[in-house]
Parts: sequence; C-alpha cells; structure tokens
Amino acid sequence: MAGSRRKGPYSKFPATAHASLSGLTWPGLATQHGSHLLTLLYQLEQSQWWSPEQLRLHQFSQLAQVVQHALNTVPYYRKHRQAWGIDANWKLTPESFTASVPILTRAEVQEGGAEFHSNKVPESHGKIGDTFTSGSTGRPLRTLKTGLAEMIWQALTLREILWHRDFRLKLAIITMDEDKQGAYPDGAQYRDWGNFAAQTFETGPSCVLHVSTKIHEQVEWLLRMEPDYLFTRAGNAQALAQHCLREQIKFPTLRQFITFSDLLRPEARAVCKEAWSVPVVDIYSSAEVGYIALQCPESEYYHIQSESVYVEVLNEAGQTCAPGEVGQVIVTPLHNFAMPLLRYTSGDLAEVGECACGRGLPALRRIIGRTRSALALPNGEHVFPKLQDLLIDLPMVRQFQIRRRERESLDVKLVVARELTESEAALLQGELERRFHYPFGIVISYHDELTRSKSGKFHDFKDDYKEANGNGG
Amino acid sequence: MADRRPPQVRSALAGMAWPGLPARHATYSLALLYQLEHSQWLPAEDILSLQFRQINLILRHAFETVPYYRAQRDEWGIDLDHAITPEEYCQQVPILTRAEVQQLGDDLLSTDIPQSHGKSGSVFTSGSTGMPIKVIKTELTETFWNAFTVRDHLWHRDPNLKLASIRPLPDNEAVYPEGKSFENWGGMAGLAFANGPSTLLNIGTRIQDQVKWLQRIDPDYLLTYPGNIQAIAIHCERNKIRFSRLKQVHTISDLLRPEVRKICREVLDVPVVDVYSGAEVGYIALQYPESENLHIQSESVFVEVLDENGNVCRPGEVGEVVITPLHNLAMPLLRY
Repeated sequence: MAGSRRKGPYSKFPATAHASLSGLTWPGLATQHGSHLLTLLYQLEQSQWWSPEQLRLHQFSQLAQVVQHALNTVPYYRKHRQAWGIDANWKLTPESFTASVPILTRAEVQEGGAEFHSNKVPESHGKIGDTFTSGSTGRPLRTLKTGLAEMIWQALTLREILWHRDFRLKLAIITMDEDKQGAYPDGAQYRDWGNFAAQTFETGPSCVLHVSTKIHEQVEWLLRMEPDYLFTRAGNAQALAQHCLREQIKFPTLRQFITFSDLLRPEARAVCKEAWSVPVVDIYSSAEVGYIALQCPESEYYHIQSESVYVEVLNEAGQTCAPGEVGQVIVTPLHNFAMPLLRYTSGDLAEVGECACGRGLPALRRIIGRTRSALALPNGEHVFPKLQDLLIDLPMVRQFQIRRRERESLDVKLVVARELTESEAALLQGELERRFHYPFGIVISYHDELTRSKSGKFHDFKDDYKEANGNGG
Repeated sequence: MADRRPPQVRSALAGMAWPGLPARHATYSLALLYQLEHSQWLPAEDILSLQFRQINLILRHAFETVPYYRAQRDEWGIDLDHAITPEEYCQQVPILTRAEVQQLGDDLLSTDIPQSHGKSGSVFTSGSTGMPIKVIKTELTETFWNAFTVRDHLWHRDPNLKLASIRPLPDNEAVYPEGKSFENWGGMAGLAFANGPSTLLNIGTRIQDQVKWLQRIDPDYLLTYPGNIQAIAIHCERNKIRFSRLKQVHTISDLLRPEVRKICREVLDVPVVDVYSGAEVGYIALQYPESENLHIQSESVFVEVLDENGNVCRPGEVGEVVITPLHNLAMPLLRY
C-alpha cells in the first residue's frame, strides 16, 4: 500500500505559492530558490505517508552517500575507518552502521575542529556558512553547513508551518534578532513572513521583538501587535504565560504558540493553555544538526524528520528503544557534506512513541532534557539529572530553576501560584534527591520571573560550583 | 492506486539521492506539481477565485498589448480599474470562434510578452474542419503543459513500469520491427522522476506488425490514438491475442468513442484512460483517477459549458465548450 495511506486533502490550510513572474499569479512560479523548495516540499508531502520500511530504504540510499563522502573526504573519518573495520567489503545497513561507527559526542567534535571538515565539498551544494552554538556548557561549537543543508532546513521549516499554521495570518517572533531591529517599544514590522517563506508562499505580515525585552513589555507589545501566532523560546513562552496568568491578560487574536530551542516541559505547555487557552506547538532541533523532530499536526507526538536525518534512540545497553522506552538520541544528518556528523549525540534523551496519525515518520512521545550539563557529585560520581517531569506532583509550581552554588546544597528558585507547604517542600527535596542521586540540602526561594541568558535561553539547571572549582567533588 | 511504488524524484545533484533535486527545468514542473496536488482538493469557490486572479492579469495584458482586444475594449465596456467578476467576464467578453482566430491572425498576438515567460514558438493545428490556425505559445505554457502531463501520469500510472507509445512520427523514425527504446519515459516525466523504460513505434506500421511488436515489447502501458487501439483490439479479437502484462491503454488526440473503451475492456481486458486537450489551449480535462469522468484542469484553463441560449449547463446537460487558457500571454484567447 505504498504511498497510499493518505486520504483527502494534503493540508489543513491552503497555501498559495508565491508568483515571481509578471502576468502570473496562479498557480505561482516562484523564484528558482522557491521552486527548489516547492520541489522538496512536493516530495515531503508524499514521503510522510510512506511506510517505515519505504522511508528506511530511501533514507539509507542517502545515508550511503553521506557516509561514503565522510569516509573519503573528512580527515577524522579517514583516520578511523580502518580501526572501525570499514573496508571495501563493508556494506551499509542499519546494523552495520550501528556496529561499526561509534557514537560521536559534542566534546569530540569540539576537540576535533577542522578534522571534521570535508576537504572536497561538491560545488553544487552551494556556499558553505558557519554557525556557532553555545550550548548549556558555554563552550561554543562551530558547525559548517552547505547551501544545500540550509535549503533542506528551509523546506522542513515550510513543512512545519504547513502542518500547523495558515500562512495568511500574522506571525510574531520574539527571539534573538541579530540585526538588532527588534528593540522595544516598536520591534520590527514586515509585510510578510520573511525571506524564503515569502519567496515560496503568499504570507500575511510578521513582527519581531528582541527576546531581551522585559516580560511585561513583551506582553504590552503583543497586545499592540495582535498576532495570530507567537514563535519564541520555550522558556520565554512559559515566563509570558505566567505573567499573563497572574495579571489576567488574554491575547484575543492568538491561536497558537510555537516554541523552539529550550526544552518544552509539560508545565510550560500546561501554563500556556491555562493562561490563554491556546495550544503549544514545539520544535525539536539543534543548530549543528537541523530539525530532528517536529510536532505532529494531529497530536502532541514529535515526528522524526527522516528525510533529513537518521535518528537512533538507544537504551543504556545500546539497543533500539521500543515505544515507551527512554533512550539517548543519536543523529546523522543526511545532507551536510561540509561537515558530516555520523551518529552524533547532543546529549538529549527521548521517549519513543507511536503516533496514530498514519504518517510513517517515526514518533517520539517526549524529549527529555539535555544530559549535557552533567553534575559531579561530592562522591566523585557523575549524574545527568532528569528534570523533565519534576513538577508532575507539584501543580502549584509554574517554573523552576536550580543552581548549585555550594558543594552540598542546591538553590531552588520557584515561580508559584502559592508557596509550598512543609510537606510539599519535603516532597520536592525527596524528588531532587532521587534524581540527583545525592541528598543535597535545598534552599527554596520564590520569584515573579526567573532569569534567562542574554540570548533568552533558559537554563533550568546549572552547576556553578563545578564551573568555579573545576570539579564537583 | 494501491500497491504502487512511490515515484522517485530524479536528482541532478552529486551526493543527493533523496529527496531529489532535479535539473532546473524539472524543478519548475515539480513546483507546479506541488501546487496541483493541493489545488485539486480545493473547494470550487476557492478555485474560481484563484482562476479569476489569473484571468484579471491576462485580461489586463490582453487589453493593453493585443491589437484585437485593445480595439474592442471600449465597445465591450471593459474597465481595468477594478477586478472583473466571473459574471461580468462572461457577459462582457463575447465568444471567440476558430474562424475568427484564423481571420484575425497577428492581431491576436501580444506586442509585449514578458521576457520571463521565455521564448515564443508557433504550433499549427488543422482541427477537424481542416482550417489550419497558427498558435503562438510561450515557454511558460510549455512548462504548464509538462506539469499536467506528469499529473496525468501520476493519476493513472506507476512511472516505474514500462510504457510503449505508438504515435505519428516522420516516415523513417522508430519504424518496425525495432521501433526505438529509451531508458525512461522521456520529456518532463523523465527529467523529473526516476522512472521505468519506454519504447516508441511509428503509427504508420501495419496493424499486424504493431501487434507483433507489442507482444515482443510486452509493455505495462500503451499510449496511442483511439482509432489505432481500436484497430489493434479488433485484430487481437480475430486472432485471439492477449497482451499478458498490459494494464492500461492511454489515448490521446482524437475523440474517444464508447466502443473503443468497450472493445479494450472486452478483448484486451484493460481500461482506457483518455485526455482531452487542444494544441491551441493545452490540457482541458483529464480522466479522473477513480472513474471514467473527466476533470477540468482548472489550474490551466477556465472552462464554460454553455447551452444553446448561452446559459451554463447543469450536470447531465450537453453544451458547447468555451475555453480561456490562463497562461498564454503570447496569444491570449478569451472565451475561445
């Protein structure tokens, strides 16, 4: 039943392609770049309904290309291929890939630097650009990306929009604005959704505000802008929702929140629904990899973007997780020939799911915390605290932030609907002891708003003690 | 269309196997195809409103740059300052006959075709009356034609399978016994999709030889003229011949009569899929994937079917087909 699982229209929202030719408005013929994006979208529309086997088959035809390219042109892989037992007779299969190629950590990529750069990127893949990501450890990682990888990113951005939104409506973005045009009180206002989206489809207007704007000013700006959609970091969305809940502020036109970058915790989803009765749509991506999974248009599951990345979710024994199991997310981007990363882990954990929507793209039920910020315990052990569902039994807590400043204690900053009772505080302490594997003392303090980094990123846990002392023990 | 392998877009980029990014021209066809996949599901009123966005552009172009229309503008009371509605359009613009197109000649050609629409070329069509007319078309209309050809293939055929075509060709081309073989289906389908092989035979071949050729080639699909397949089927009936692999006959050009569908079903045990097109207007209607009805290609033409009093026909009524191609700015034909 290949390719025939879909029934009826492709999209909830009809989108009209942008026409860049005079005398032509429908069907549109976009610029060459826009046509490339539509060509990719045409395929993405179909492949999402393929069976998992069919997706895997096509995915491996592309994976073979990037693996071959990496083994031949990237110094790091050339150096190791022999030790990994990859010779002329090696055949790429899901099993041989997992067995032969070891997992690559962020730290290894940082150390390797230019060792990961291909010395022969096909010219047809376009210009090579770079991005820096700070990550929660604060050590920046430089990633090279080809024009082609960027184009795939853009096509998936459009897929995400088509899955969830009507291009004709108004979009507000509160993010890092590198052009610094988005300063309060005006922000920046645009006729369309910008750049490649507007080159491809007819869109409504958009407006941008810098994420460093104070929360109450963001709220004031949003009331003035009256957007249909708001795109911002999960931490910022949560802070906005808390503020609005407290002040009883509603945005009458707002239909949806879109969050990215920070981890979206269940309580963030809940508080947005409570404050404005609007759904939250979350995006799971990383700067070095691109999109990993996008929220299903019909559920809160995330669909792995198999057309652009090969994802393994492995348990501690290194075996593929079954639905319901939590494991480490290991990704291989399929199209970045400038800096191929094979079986890369950014430290995220995810729970494998099964979505009932009919798409063949594999599903994740939830993304659970970065394990990037490991904690060194006084006894010398390292733990990766799992904090995703910390607040499940504490509904009065809207948001938390944990800092370790002392060897034996944690500062727990809370935004709450009401303060915790003694027994609730004890419950929280017990939960933290279980998750950190250590009986830290806790100091609870209450706040209206929690601090965010300059880029607007929200860190729920930071080990300041380790950073100051070099180790945690 | 169950049990089909998905069509795989052909990639022209080194190192890029999937998804495919094909050669530039095919990219435009796929960009259109993407839109066609969506627009086929749009409600009728949305389609009409999009059609009239396009018709308003072509009207402005016609009344500003085509001598014949420029001269008629005041008489027809065309006001370009506001968007014309479907009702106004059908009331104000009279029907244009084939004879008028023949008489008007170059007066129907635009004096200012946008460069971005590509080169213009001419096609001659004789039509059933034997009165040839010359039609000028742009490359853009060709791009649209290609996209609709691919739509038709994808509605009805698995492009991974084998296609045989028997069609008119110059005398010495693709002649019996060999015909001509190709790696793919050719044209835009070949550029855009990684597809199965195809073979071509000159329609001038004697019927018994066409049948022998088909038995040897053993195709999944056969594309030819209705009269030709009728003759093939009659020959097969008399000689008790069946083509083991054949899944479908695809007819083009001439009018498809019910008896052709009938004999193909009875003798060859295959359905016939028809297209309704015209050299001067492009694709008008394609057969629906799930029935023998034809779907008007509203993304390419605005079609009215009018009774003797000029009123729009209801389902079940028969009327004259009046066509406005939406994208040929070289020679706009309004209500042809």
